[in-house]
Order: sequence, then C-alpha cells, then structure tokens
Amino acid sequence: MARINSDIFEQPGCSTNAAKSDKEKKKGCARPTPGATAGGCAYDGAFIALCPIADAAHLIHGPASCANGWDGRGTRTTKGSMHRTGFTTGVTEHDIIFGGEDKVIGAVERIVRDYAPAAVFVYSTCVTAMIGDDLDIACKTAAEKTGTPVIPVHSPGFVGTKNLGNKLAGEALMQHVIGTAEPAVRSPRDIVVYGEYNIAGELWQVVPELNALSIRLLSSISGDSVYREVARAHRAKAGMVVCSKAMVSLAESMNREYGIPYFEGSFYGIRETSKSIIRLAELLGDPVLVEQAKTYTTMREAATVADLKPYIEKLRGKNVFVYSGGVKSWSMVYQMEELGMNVLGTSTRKSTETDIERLRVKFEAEQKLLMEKGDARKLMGILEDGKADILVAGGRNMYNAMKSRMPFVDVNQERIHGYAGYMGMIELARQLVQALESPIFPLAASKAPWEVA
Amino acid sequence: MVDQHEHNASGRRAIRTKKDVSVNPLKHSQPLGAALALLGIDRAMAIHHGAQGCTAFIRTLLTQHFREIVPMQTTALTEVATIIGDDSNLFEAIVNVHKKQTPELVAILTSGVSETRGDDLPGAMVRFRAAHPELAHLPVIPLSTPDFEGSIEDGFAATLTAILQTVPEAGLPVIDGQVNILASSALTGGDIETIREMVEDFGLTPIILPDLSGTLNGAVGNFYTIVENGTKVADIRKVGASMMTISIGRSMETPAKVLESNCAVPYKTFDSVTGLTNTDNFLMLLKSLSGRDVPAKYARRRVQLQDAMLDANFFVSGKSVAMAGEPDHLGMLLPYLSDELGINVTAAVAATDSPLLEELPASSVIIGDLEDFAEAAGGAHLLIGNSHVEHASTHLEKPHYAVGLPVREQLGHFSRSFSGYGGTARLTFDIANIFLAMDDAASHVPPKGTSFGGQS
Repeated sequence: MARINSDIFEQPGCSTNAAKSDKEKKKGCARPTPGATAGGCAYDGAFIALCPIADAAHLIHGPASCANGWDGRGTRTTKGSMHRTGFTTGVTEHDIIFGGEDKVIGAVERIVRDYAPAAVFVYSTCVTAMIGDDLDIACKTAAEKTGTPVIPVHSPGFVGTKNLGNKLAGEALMQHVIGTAEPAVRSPRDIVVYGEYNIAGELWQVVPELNALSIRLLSSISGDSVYREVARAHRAKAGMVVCSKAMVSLAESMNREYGIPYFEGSFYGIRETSKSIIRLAELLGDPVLVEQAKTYTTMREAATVADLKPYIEKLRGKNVFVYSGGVKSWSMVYQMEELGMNVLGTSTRKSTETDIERLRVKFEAEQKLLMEKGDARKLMGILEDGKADILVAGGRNMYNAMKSRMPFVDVNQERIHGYAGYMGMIELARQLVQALESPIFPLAASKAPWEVA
Repeated sequence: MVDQHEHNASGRRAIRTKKDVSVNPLKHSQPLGAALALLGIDRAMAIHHGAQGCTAFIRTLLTQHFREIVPMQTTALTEVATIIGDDSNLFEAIVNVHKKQTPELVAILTSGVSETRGDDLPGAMVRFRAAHPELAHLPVIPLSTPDFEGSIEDGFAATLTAILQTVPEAGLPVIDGQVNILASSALTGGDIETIREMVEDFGLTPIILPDLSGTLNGAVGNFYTIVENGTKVADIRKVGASMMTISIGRSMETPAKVLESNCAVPYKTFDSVTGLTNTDNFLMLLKSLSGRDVPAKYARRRVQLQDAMLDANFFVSGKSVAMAGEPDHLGMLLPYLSDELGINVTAAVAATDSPLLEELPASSVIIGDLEDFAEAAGGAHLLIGNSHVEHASTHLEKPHYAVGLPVREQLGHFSRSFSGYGGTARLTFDIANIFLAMDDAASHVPPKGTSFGGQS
C-alpha cells in the first residue's frame, strides 16, 4: 500500500498534534463518520497543494472519479497554463489486474513529448495504491527515459483528510524537488511562503508590499509558481506559513534540513499584514530591515485606514457572522473588527487547535459563538433569529448560506475577489458595503403578496 | 496528437482513441451520473461507498455547475476500513443517513475503491436487511457504478434502471391520462419545464423521472440537507399504471424497456424534443394519447420557430460546427443543427460509447477526450461543449458555445430550455448570432492582396 513517511504524524510543528495529549496522539487523526462526512481526501489535498505549479504537468494516476475535479481551482498565475490541463491515466479494469506502472511510464513519455513540461507530478489514488503499483519505480524509470523530473506523490484518498494530503505534497517536494535547483542570484532578503495558493490573486496583493522593502519572494509554495522556483526554495532565509494547517510540516522540515526559520501568519487584516511583514523582517535577522518594515507598515496602515474611512462609516456597528474555516476563521474575525463591525461568531471547520485557541481566548471574554463544526443547520438558526446583518461564508457550503437570503460575501476558493494585504482590505470593505446596500437581498427574502396574511 | 486509432472489429464508424494518458478528460465518472439522477428524486440520498473524497470532487463539480446545494453522502472508507473490508462502514452510513435526513430512498453507489476491493453489494444488502429490520420500509438500492468505464449518462441510466426494477408496483390498473417521462442527464431544468408544460397542456399528468427542475433549478428557497421537490417516491411506485413511457434521450431507452417488461407499460423514445420535426412528433404523440387538439399557442410558436430559422439561414449556411459531449447530448443538438439548419458537423467527440453514435450526422465521430476534440475540431467555425472546451477555443481561436456539464462561466444555463419550438428558436438565435458577429467582423476586413488605388 501507500508508502507514507510516519514522521508526518509526529510533526512537532503540527499545531493540531502538539495540542493533543499523548493518548490522543496515539489515536491519530479523527476517523470520519460514515454517512455524516463531507470534505476532501488526501489526494484532493495533495493535488490542490501542488497544482498551482504552472509549468509542470499534474498526472492523476487513478480512475475517472479522481479526475472529475481537473481545472476546478481558483488559483491564478502569470506563469503558464500547464496546471489547467487535465492529465489522467484513467485506470481501467485491465490495469487493476495487470498493474498500472507501464501506463504511468507511457503517459509521462507522451506528456513530455507533446507538452514539454518542466516536470511531471504523478499522484497515486486509492485504487492504484490498492493494486500495489510501485509509483517510485515507475516515476524513476519515466524520469530516466524522458530526462524530465518525475515526482511521485503518495496520496491515496483513504489515508486521510485534505490536510494530510497537503502534508504528503510537502513531503514529495522535500524528497524530490527542493534543493535540486539554485537561484541565479542570492539575496539576504530571500523568503519562501508556504501554503498561499494565489486564490483570486491574493498573493499578488501582498508581493508588492514585500518588494517595497526589497524582500524577494524567492519561492512560493505554490501559488503563481513554476517548478524551478520551488526547487530553489532551500536558499530562502526565512519562511512564512500562510494557510496555517496545510504546510507546517514542510516548513518544519525546511527548518530542520536547511535551517530556514519560519512562522505561521496571515495576510488577512491590516494589523495581521503588518505583523507578518515585520516578523519576516525579524526572521531575516537584519535590524535595519526591521526598522524599515516598521516605518513602512505604519505608513501603509495609515494610508489604508484613510482609504477605508468611507466604507467604515457604513460598516460600523453592523453584525456579521463569519462562516469559514481554517486560518480564515480567526483572521477574518480580525478583519471584520478592523472594519468596525461586530462579529457575532465564527465557525472553526478545518481549523487547528491553535486557530481555535486564539478564538476561544478572544470569544470567551466577549461571549460570542464558536461553532465547532460546519453545522449548516445551526447556522441557519443563528441567522433566522435576525441578529446578523451580513454573512461572510465560503467553502462548498456557500450555497447553504445563500439560502438564508441575507447579505452575503463570498470567501470561497472559487471567489473572484482577493482579500489579502492592505489592498485586499479595501476590496473586502467594498464588497461588504455593496452586499449591505444591494436591493437584491430584501427582495429575495420577500414573500409573495398573496402569501402574506 | 492522437496516438492510435482503433477501428472497431464490427466495422463501426465511431472511433475510440487508444492512449496511455487522457488529456483534458471529457468523460466524468459513472458515480457522478448516478448521484445526479438521485438529485432529481424527492428525499433520495446517494451514498458513495468509497473514501470521503469520492464525493468531494463530485459535489464541487455539481455545485459549480448548478450553484445549488447538492446533498450526498459517503461511507468514508479509510485505509484501515478498506483492508478489513467488512460491512460496518456501509451499514453505519445508511443508519446515520436515516437518522439525520429521514430519506425515502437510499442508493449505494460503488466507487473505484469498493469495486477494486470486490465488495459484494447485493450480499451486503441481504445482511443489512437481516441486521436492521427496523428499516425494512426504506428502499435501499445497490448500484454498480464502476469508475473505470462509462460516463455520466451510463451511471444516470443505470440508476433509473435499478430504481425501476425495484420500486414500482406491478399489476396496477391503468390510470387514464398518466404518462411517464424519463428525462436524460443531458436535459436542463429548463428543458424539463418545457416538456412538463407541453404534456400538461394536453390535460395529461406526467410523472417525470428524475425531475431535476426542482431542487437544482433554484426552486427550493429554504436550506436543505436532502433533495426536496424532485419526483415523489410515491409516484415512482405507481409508474406501472401509466398509459405510456416517453423516454427523452437515447440512454433512457433501457430503463423504459425495464418498465415495459415488468409493468407492461409501452414506451416511445425521442432522442430529443429539440427541432421542428421532433417537436411536431412529440405534440402529435400527446394529441393521440390525450385525444385532445394541439393547443393554439403551439401553432403560434411553430411559426415563430420557422421565422427564426429563416432569419438564421443567412448566417448558418455554409458554416460548420464541432461538438464534444455525452452521447445523449450530441443526439439532442447535432441532428437539428445538421438536418434542419444545414450546418455541417465536422466532428463529434463523445465521452462514452452509445449505439446513437453510429447515427450522428457528423463527418467524424470519436470516443475520446478534449485533446482529441481539439485535434478533430480544427476545421469547424464554432466549438460546442462544456466549460473545458474553452481551452480548445482559446488554442484554436474559435468561438465556444457552452452546453453540457460543467458550464461554470454563465449563470442560468440550467434554467435555459433547448426543447420545444420556443427552446429551439432560442438555440437557433444563439448559434446564428455567433455566426452573424463572425461574418460582420470579416466583412470589415478587405480581402488580402486587394488594391484600392486611392488619391494619396
């Protein structure tokens, strides 16, 4: 079956794991409940973590179901379109009986010949893991035959959740990719960012701020990236994990292997953005840069607050419920508060213990609602009692939220507006005001006149 | 870039490309088709017997397409559960779904994992019935929907066939005016509304199976965790009492046959109700079933369609199209475009095999992916197919008319009707407008090598 580095389950940097007791650690990750489970699998997680690498081919070694989602992500790039091309071996019953390794080799040869990618990532799935395909050997042979890097990603869906898949993707990068290329020029202000996928161009909202301080994004793993940039990530001087859960184990490995210090941060919100920029400067170990960063962020904060003023006048005191998950569950709460809004509560789907702890401390003092799971039914109840003015929601459950017929801002992965950095705050404020002022929501919630008593 | 063509031994004209890698897949998995069929049945729940991710991709794709909640569940097989291979996950899933959603019908869909493991689903159902007598009233339908072959319409048709094998009561007396409509996966919610209206206009009572015009067409205003508003299970029980089954879309013929042999309901298949002749024939059938005259509004709409066709003539003549899609869908649009509008169909690429492919009015018919399509479609003026055809459209610099699944880049696609005189007229305008714009743009560019003299 799938070969998985057992280290993955013992990452000291994994905040979920760190927060567990020894007994809980032994139990491993929670088992999904049959008949009451939603969400992606490990393969899903591995694929979305790597598919933004735009000049590489991403070959799904599995049956049609696993390929249902090709080109379905909101990731943006300027660097190619290979990642939007769907490649699959389309495993058949014949392959199940006779094995699919030759097919992988044939597929890679064909892809290299006709599409000339910088590299080929090959993802194993449940079926190909079950039939015992030796993906390592197949990839090695294919690489020798084609002279192109071919990277096995051991990500059968049933080994766990999307988050585990993110880690498995990081593992594949660590084993096969990172350290295989050198940057043409090196700088003491080179950084690596983990787990930012440039959804709706959010990385683009932040990079200009870094560049203003001569901080260079040497490698992005993996939003708006190409293979060579990922391969040289070991030369970075500091790292930042953006989506707190996804890539911590990779950041930890990079720290251990190459001595690259890292922190978990966010670019959602004015204060968080400033904090992250200053923290990066600190990790780069240059006191001059730290001072520059402080001056710069103070200036940007003031400019952003000035730009936000007309929006804040309209948003102040409005009640918002944040129905998101992961790092967004807490970082978006700060964003809303910076816009003068009153946060009624948030959900903690896919959030780590650290994420939740941050909220618990904050919310206990303010007696707000912390919804443990993405319980849509409960959400509906909260909204029906009429206290919320606006809802911020994302994920596959966004249409659940839509059924509430209430002003609504989309923070789903397929969204088309980015909300990161100082720039993103202004965009978010604009979207919130537009939703609140839209005539659609009251009309959409109205009853037919003949139904009203 | 097609590596190798393999002519079928029986001398068929549909060619299946044979290669180690599928590039830009056109086919979707059978479980997706099965899940889609179940989304059109009131209080039905699809349980995928596989890893939790098996539903995640399907849900994401269907959510992007329909912009609606798409309820479905999974047995959440883990690595350990897969190795042990007992029934516990399966039974637990059914019990949990029953507890939370109180379904009226549950279907178990096999996935790559359960098929590879070789699960004996019918056997498991017998064991489930023994272990859970308290759920004896609940229809639980095991479906074999292997990932390795077929596409949406195969899984969709297999689901209806299995439901019609088990749910309907036999030996019911015929209910005058009751008609079964089996609606293919290639029909939109708008198509179904049009068909329902036509049938009801003759005073007939249709039982539409499945009815995707409810839940997935924005017709449920409240929050839901299980399908609401589709075909009632109570109605499925009495389909045996109908005067006739009208199957729309070629793949619906198999389930119609099952109903004929089990409940003696005669059937008639329409590849579509798109086009002048098809609509004519459909209305004439309803006329003879009901004994009523065709309502006057259809005469008016027919003239409007004829006028639309005349207006379109100037722009569609001499044009060619290529289309990629499920066989049923190719069979719905291409005969109209080719045989009634006179457009040349250079290539038809199908996601899966069907006897229909032999009859398509297209110069070449391929069972393959969108790489094959991009290769074959080069000579056409217009590309027709789902959102993924956009890649070929960009690459070949040809316009794209989006139909099929998924269509992500436009709102309201699923409420559009391509059926009846009105739906056909709209389709005609759409296609002709694309050609009109194309011809107009070309007319502003002087032919190459022309010298105009001039005074300068």
